[in-house]
Amino acid sequence: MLDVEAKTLLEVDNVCQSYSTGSDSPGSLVLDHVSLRLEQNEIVGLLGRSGCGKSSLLRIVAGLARPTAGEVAYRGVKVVGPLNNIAMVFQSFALFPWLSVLENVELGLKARKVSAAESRKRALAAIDLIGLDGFESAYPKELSGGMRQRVGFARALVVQPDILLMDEPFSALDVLTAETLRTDLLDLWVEGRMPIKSILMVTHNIEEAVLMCDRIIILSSNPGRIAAEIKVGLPHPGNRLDPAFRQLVDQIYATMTQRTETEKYRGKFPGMVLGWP
Amino acid sequence: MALDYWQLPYYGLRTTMRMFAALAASLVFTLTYATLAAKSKRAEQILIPLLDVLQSVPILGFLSFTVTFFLGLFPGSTLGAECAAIFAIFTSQAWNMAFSFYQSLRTVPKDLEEVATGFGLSPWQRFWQLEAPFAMPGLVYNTMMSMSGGWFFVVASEAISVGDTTVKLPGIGSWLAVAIDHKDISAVIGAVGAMLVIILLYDQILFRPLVVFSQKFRVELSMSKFQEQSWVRDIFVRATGLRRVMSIPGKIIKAIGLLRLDWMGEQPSRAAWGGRKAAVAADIVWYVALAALVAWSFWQIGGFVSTALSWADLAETATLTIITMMRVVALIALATLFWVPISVWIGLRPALAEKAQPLAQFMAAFPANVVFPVAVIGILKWSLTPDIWLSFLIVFGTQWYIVFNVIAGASAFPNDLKEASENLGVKGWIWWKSVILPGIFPYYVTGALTASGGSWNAAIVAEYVKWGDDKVEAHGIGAYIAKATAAGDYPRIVLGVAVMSIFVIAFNRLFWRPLFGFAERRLRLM
Repeated sequence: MLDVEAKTLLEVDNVCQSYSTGSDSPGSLVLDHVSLRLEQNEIVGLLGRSGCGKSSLLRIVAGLARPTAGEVAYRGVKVVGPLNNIAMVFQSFALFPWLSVLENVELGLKARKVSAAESRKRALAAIDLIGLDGFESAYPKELSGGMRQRVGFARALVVQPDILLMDEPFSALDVLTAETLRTDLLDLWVEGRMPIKSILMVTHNIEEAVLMCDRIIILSSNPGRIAAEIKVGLPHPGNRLDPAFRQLVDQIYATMTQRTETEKYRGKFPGMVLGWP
Repeated sequence: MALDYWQLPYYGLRTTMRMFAALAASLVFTLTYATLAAKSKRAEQILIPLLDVLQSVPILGFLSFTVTFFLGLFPGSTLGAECAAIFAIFTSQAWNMAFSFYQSLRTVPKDLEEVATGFGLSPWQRFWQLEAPFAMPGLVYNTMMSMSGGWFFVVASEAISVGDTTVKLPGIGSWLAVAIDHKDISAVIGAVGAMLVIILLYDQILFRPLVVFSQKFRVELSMSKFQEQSWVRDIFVRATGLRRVMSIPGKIIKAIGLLRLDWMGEQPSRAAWGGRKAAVAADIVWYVALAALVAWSFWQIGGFVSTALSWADLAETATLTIITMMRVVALIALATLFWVPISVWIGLRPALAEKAQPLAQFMAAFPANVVFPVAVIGILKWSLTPDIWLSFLIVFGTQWYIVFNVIAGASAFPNDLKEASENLGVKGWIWWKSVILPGIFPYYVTGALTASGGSWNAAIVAEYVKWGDDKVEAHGIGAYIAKATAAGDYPRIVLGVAVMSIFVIAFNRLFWRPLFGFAERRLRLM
């Protein structure tokens, strides 16, 4: 039991989140008593439609937003603000357009008061690792979308976090670029070349979740609740043509659509779960 | 003119009418001038630099010329004076509106243009269905700014004396001038109160509904979080009777906008006018003509000025302009140091920014020259150095441009960048240097540029201030021009204004322009 306890990196306990839409309305419930755990050495996917609160959950885990109720604990300590050990990759890349690639990557180290020489060394190593060699002095504007997200990864990895949070990191990229970046990231993960212990990622792409994750948590919408938890158990890197892979994708698809058919869905088309950015 | 408080609403009305007359003229000017500049390349080459110069020269200095010109146009009637005042207000309103409109016309989204071409809209239809609506938010915003800027000129232009000619038009500006002559502090306060009421009224009745209206022309896919509200618009939208009445002019305008008016001819295409060689030759002729015109005007000014003045006067005005420039730079820097941190702090708190933003705009609308005489009292009472203490008046009214632009910048700072910097634990000086200052910089430059332009104008009235018979003056080109105007010394006015204009234009070209370019190139958010 103690052993299990030690392996738990992150624990989300009955988190609720509601946003006030107007000044007088009570606010809509976005997350409704969501609990989950993140263990060491696993990639967990939060899968759901747009607006199911998965990004809100990620922000609560990152300490960027405060839950209305419930709490998040990192290694048993309550999260009350951004932590040094949790880094995040954004859907929109969130790069500072006025900083060069190197400066963007170094920013987190500077904030942690790492010495100039040390942070330069580590930043260059991270840039090298993520395949951005030679682009150190370029500005984000000059890079393609895939390259920009690589900067986003390098910036998150360079601070050597325990947990990497990813908010739909590939959904702003075209299909082929996304696939390349996904594969590169998985390779680094499998080979243990990244300093991180666990990844928690948000996605609405079922195949991506099955491909990358060890465990998938499906969130239902309005309000966001955990609908199902699925252990993937396929080897990394997964093969899309593997019958077991296809079967799992279909099963998840069925779970997600079935739930939405019983729920009342205001005017939205059912079945448009796959691949809509 | 007597200081009768019962007359104050009437004076207020007269002043407001003048401002709206000028605004109407500005709108007509904007729709024609900017459209011409955007549609014709030849016209663009002369109209836009001209606009740029007009925008940056201190117009207040020219007041004496326009007044004498219009008085000469309508001898023995107040119509000339009215025209002069309206023209003065117009010169403070028109340029930024025209510039905004021109820029909007040049940045109409390509896909929408293609749709318009694809459906075969006539130029007239295209203008009213695509271009004017697209330019609407910018135009409404700049109209509001212009209205604010106009107050400064109303106060300065209603009561003006050039040499022996003294004009006092019934209005708040004249009221103030009389109050100042009589050292009547309660009358000054009364005028300030009247002004506040007027500004509040037209803001609520006219501009709020316009802003709400213009929101629907914003080209954006997601609804912005903060929606402007207007109770006046709500009344018009909800009351059935009113709505029916208003729908008639609405329908007429709609019908006019949909007329084809093909006789207006095919829109001249920007790309196709003659071959390349012909174009180059035409360009050369064009530039030579322009250069000749500029040289001729310099010759004229030089000829006029040299009859009465010597090189020593030129040296004197140059020195005075440098003094004023130092004053403007120092005060803008001070205002920056003071207001940027505060404005950033406010801008990052949406609830607070929502309240602070209109307040700052309101402060910018308030004509600071109204309170200048009060400064005289203070300076005389504590026998302060005018050279230092009058300087503060220069930014008194213009600092708000920095405030609300920076607030706007901080409010618009992208949420993902905010989250990223928070996630990376960026704090303190690094946060200011690497995160927020570059983020707000383009907004800051816009604000500081406006503030600096306004400050040059303000210098003309701020360096030489009267309260009854008490006068306080600082060394500077503003005081030089003001004194020359009061004495009706035309050669000195011309020289002072010319030197000041050249300095201001050079200052804008060599300092603000590069900063603007830098902000555009490097700091623009993707």
